[in-house]
Amino acid sequence: MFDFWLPAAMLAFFNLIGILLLVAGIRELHLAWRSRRWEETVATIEESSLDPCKRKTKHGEEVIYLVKLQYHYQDRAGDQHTGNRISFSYHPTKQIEDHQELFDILQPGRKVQVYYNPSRPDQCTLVGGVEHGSFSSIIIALMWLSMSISVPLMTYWPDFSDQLLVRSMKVMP
Amino acid sequence: MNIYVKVLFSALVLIGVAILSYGMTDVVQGYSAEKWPTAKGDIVDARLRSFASGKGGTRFEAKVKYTYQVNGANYEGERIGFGYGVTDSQELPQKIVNKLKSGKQVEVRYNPKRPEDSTLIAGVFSGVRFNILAGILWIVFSLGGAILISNRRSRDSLPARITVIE
Repeated sequence: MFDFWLPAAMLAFFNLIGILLLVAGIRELHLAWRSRRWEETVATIEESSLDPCKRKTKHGEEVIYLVKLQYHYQDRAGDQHTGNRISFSYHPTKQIEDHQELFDILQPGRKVQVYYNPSRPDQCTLVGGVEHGSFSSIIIALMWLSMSISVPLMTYWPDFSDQLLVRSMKVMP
Repeated sequence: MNIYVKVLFSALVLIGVAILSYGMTDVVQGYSAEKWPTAKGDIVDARLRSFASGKGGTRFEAKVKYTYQVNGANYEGERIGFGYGVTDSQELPQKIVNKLKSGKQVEVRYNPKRPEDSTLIAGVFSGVRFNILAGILWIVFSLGGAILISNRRSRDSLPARITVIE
């Protein structure tokens, strides 16, 4: 029984992860697209840091870098909000150089332009709109799904169509 | 992305396209073979070939050799069907060999434009999926890798897109 159900459960699990990644990527892209028309205001940076973080990988641990930021801004209604998003496509990487220039700009006390969602003013970003990086999550999800669909198709393919083909072969005495 | 990386990823995509095309050619030829003319062929040899696989098991393949005539010219063929290849199970290749050994002649389908191109079975065996899926995977990963690397460049331009007021 496990011969069928275990691979089937694993296949469903891996495909579910791929679908969740794809949905999250599409949602992120949609939000980035809508942020082009968000309201602008001025935000004040309260805190920023560029500290190494450890991430578990297949081969052990690796050090990654990311600018962590906190800023506050006021919406049109006069309500105060706190934000920490730089861009929809900003993600940690292993190279500190990728983040150093960003960290130098985003120092506490600086005032920067922020874009916030007028219908949900707590949603905000310092860089609005769709960039190349906005597609990263979708690309990774598609790579994951192509793998999680193809490998089982290569391994567990029923051969009943092959049996029918062999039956069509005409052999004469 | 510099020119060397572009060339590398273009080459990788082309390899994927070549693998996919190889698989698709089998599909197109397999279905075209349904309309190919037929000739009576003589079975010269039919046997089950087995060999050790890398995983410690045994893999199997039916091997056949047949001769046939088209417009007075003699031809020799070895193809059972498009996409047919080695399998982990002995059942299908054994069935093919048993069927071929049950007679002395077999119906051969040949390409009217290139009569040396022939097959015993029209249609496509499921083995063709390996090349098609491998080609798709190769293309998706090559293109995906290229896009992800070019995204790094977009991250480099992120500081310039932040508007500092004071």
